[in-house]
Amino acid sequence: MMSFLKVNNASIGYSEPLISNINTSLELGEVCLLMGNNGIGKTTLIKSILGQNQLLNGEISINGKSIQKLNSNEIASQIAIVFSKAEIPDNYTVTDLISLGKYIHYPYYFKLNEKDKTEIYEIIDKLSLTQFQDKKLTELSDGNLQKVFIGRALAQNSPFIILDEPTTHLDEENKLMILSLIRNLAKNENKLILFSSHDWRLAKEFSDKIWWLKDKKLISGISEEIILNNPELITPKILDFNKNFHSPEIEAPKLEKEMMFSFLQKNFASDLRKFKLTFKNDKWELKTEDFYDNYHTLTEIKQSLQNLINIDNQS
Amino acid sequence: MKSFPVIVSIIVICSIFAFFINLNTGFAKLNFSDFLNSNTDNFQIAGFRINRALAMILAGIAIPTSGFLLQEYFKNPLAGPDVLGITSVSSLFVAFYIFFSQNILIPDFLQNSFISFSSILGSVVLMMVLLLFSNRFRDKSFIIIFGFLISALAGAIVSFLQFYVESQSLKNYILWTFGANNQANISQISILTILVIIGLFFTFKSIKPLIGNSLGSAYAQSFGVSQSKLKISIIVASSILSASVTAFLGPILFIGVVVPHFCRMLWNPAQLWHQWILNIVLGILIMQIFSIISELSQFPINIITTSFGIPVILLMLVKKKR
Repeated sequence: MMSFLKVNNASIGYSEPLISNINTSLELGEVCLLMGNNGIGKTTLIKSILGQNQLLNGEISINGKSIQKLNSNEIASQIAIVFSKAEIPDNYTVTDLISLGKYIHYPYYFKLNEKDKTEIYEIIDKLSLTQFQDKKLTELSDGNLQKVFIGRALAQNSPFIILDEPTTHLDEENKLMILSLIRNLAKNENKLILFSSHDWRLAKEFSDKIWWLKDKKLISGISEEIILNNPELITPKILDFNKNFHSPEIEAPKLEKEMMFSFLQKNFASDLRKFKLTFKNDKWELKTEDFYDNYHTLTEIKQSLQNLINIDNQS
Repeated sequence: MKSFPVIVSIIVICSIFAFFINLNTGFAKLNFSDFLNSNTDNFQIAGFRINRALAMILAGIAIPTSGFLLQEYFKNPLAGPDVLGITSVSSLFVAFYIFFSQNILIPDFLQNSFISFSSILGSVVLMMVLLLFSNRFRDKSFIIIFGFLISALAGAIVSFLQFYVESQSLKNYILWTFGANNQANISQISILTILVIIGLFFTFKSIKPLIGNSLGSAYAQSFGVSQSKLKISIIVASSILSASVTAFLGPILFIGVVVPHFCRMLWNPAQLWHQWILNIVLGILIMQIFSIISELSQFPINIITTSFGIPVILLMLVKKKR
């Protein structure tokens, strides 16, 4: 079967190849995380897929057609892009920007017809931006602004959406919001989504596949397998991302308060001031202001406590 | 709720009124029959006024459109046809013509067309230079700086020439810079009409890529907008529109900045097609009103547009700072 996006023995870069011999493919409905350190070639790879950079070697094809043979309008009908940087026109409202997604579907005169207008409002509704629809872009929070740019990409109706560093300037809550939005779009709308991030720890939890740029090579595969085969990528699974990610609960009713504190003092003395430990409704609660920065420590503590509880239960 | 058709129709109705008031403004009182019957004494005056009103319509279409295009392209509300140096270089060529033809006897009607010809030649030369260099200007602001330098150079050369010319040529030149709308004859107006239509055609071609350009060049490229094509069509359209009007009617200043500014206040600035239409109708209205004021006060039209434009631009600057 023909893959939707197929990269065949491609080398990308400028005069010197940044990444060589890329062979991989992606299907509709998948979320792929493009990860790698800054400056390693993530944006160059994205530009090569968009046909804005010449390939040094090999071929990239979408829907069975080689990118090199498509004109920019045909590429746009297949791929919608959300760049990490954009000029933000200060006179544009949320609706104006999302409507811009329809741009490529009008040959000369760009004014939305009724069908497209309805679609724009459906997208605004889907992204729960209704209360902001007439707000100026300059008045939005970073998270909502990013949502609007994703909305623009959705309005373009392309099956493949590429996002370059979509979570870079966002706080934790908005990062989670954008990542789960990306995932839902891929699953509910059967889109192929490729997004890059140098901040992969959280992002990998939301992707089906990973493209990992490392040592001038692209390692690709199913997220879990890549993580299992590369111990440096293993980070303890976080609890649920949903509502209470600020306060993962630890069940330890049998432990004495003093025992708990002394254990923590002994093992996590330097980290302890970042957390707040309370005992409520027969449950221990460990809270932290900055969940994401501290979650390595947090999961470590949790694991240690769990062991302690188990030992306690057995004895 | 503001609605676009309502705003446009109000302005169009006002423009039609202003057009007829303009026809009826001047020293002589004219009857309706003077405009139709060639046997009456005032028929010539009537024809002259019709030319004046038509010239103002063309100026009101061309200059705001030119300013609007440049402002949207450079994303700077203070840009205008003067910014590219079009007006200055046109003026320079007109100065050359007037000053160096002083000893040659030329019939009046030829005199007029030569003035226009030299102005268009000036802007075409500048356009060629801009197109030649446009690929080297990676940053849009370089073109603005280039325009300022060219304007300064042209101004310096004109001042230098003024030292060495006879008083009559100097007076002719100064009269032209005042805005020579009273001298336009019907053949000039027909040529101007053709040039404006060509300019509007290029404007039409530029607006969709301008919309695609609004998020910056990376997005524009992903929408299939060609930056070099857009740059050329913007330069061609704004040069033709402002140079042709400058040629026939003198340098009419500040309208290219003020009218697009008013249009943005009237209607959603993101909708460029609407903005363009609004610029045209509002431009026509404002030029008719200025023509009437100029006729009543006997001040040259350029002095009126300047004394109106400068306070508006100052206000824009003050507001922007806040």
